[in-house]
Amino acid sequence: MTRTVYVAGTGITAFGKFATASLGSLGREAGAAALADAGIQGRDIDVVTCGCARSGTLHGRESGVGQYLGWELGIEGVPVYNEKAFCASGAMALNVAHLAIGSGRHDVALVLGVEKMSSRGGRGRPLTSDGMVLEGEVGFTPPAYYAMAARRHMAVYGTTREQIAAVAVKNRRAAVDNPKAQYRAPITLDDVLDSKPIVAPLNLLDCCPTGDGAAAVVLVSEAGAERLGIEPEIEVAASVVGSGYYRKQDRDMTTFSLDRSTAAKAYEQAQVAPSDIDVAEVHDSFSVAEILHYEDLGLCEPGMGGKLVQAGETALGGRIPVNTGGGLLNRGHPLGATGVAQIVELADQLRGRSGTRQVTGARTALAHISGGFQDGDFATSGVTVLARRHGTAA
Amino acid sequence: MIEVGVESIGFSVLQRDAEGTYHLAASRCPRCGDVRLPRREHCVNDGLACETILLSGKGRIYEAVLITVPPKGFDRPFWTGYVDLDEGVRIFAQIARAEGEPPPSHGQPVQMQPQEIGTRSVLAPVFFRI
Repeated sequence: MTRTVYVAGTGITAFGKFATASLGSLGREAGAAALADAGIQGRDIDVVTCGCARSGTLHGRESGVGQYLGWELGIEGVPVYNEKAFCASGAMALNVAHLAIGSGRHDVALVLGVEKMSSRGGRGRPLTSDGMVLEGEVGFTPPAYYAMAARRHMAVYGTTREQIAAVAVKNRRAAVDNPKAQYRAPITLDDVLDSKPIVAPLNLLDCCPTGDGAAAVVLVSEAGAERLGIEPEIEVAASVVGSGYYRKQDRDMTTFSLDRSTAAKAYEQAQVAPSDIDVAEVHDSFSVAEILHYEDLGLCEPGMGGKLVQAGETALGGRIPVNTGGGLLNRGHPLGATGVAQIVELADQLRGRSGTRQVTGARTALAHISGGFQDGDFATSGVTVLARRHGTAA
Repeated sequence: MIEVGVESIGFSVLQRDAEGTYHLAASRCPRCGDVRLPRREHCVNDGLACETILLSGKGRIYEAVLITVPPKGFDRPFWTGYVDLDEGVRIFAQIARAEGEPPPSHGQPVQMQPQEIGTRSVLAPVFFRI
């Protein structure tokens, strides 16, 4: 990577279930907001990347979602890259745009993430996973995977059911202050423990919802910023993605080598350590996932994730606030939008415009997402590090 | 009867031996001995064509969970989990729990028996505690 990449603007729709919204209306709203935030027009964009996981299954639009959104936004005659990497589709779109700018090929990129899931059938049933079709024939669902990981973590490290539920309570508390979040009414530990059992130990409030939403980010090079006459404040210090490790079959479900690998590469690329991270977005498709990922991201020692959340260290005001926008659990998880929404949240934090959920003085931020499954491992892991540019005011 | 694998990956994970008994059918690399289930055509380590072997069906539960909200194709709760088979492969499958039997848990020895599962009566490997 030869050139530094900056976040010049961000935009996001409300997340939720919107009967009249379409992929086009959601993507247009988020994209237009990001362009306006950057102070630029659609015609300034050199390249578009777009993450969307289920457009084929749900909307009969397997290809060309990015082109469609570009059409909505008046963006013409530019390369468009569509990324499908399960829950990490948006993170993959960001990674491709980072490559496009960092390599020197392009100067101004629009990254879009969008999903509209409320129109799917099978309401109330868990999503299936494209990478686990064989396992799906005998009843596999993503919550079953995380429930097994939870039971292993409880058995090996003594993590408690209450510690796992504490993730859901903490992230709901954060969502109360996020007007874009899907679920905002405060909940208690008892609410989580008494909610409908899905796959023990996970209950309904341990599981992220499906929904609709879009998020967008404008990335620029130094040259792009000069051309546009803008001064972006946030640097993309690292953008790393990786696929799973499938050779090992007797894998330990309390820790995932894929996430340790992408995290290590991201810390190296950004030249920071886990202790430098001021605020993080961590994949919490299920409450226990956040605990597992704390450990693989190095935010705490192996086995200490449950204690970390229980002690309030990952809540707003704690040592390392995680999921200040509510996380996947409460902001919502429109698959393709989530990886970009994480960047929107962290850029807001670093720009000091997070209002009542602001992490005071945040300068370095990390986003982590897992995407899908393949042969028993995660199919994708993405880690992004953002940093407030040197010399800009805190 | 539909056997598990036919609709998702194009072939059954089960195969009968000369006596007509069902086994899990895996692949084995003739050079490195890597065993894979479902069977793979080529070894990712050596690039060689793999041979098909029939597994013993014996193994130990790695972890098991009760699925309370059944996904599409199932109409009642069931136990499921990862089983580490003696030949070195891990399989995701349903685990039987007879009335009065304690819940399945980590480390318990199990044996595969094909059973019809779900609302479509698909023939699938199911593991029983031994």
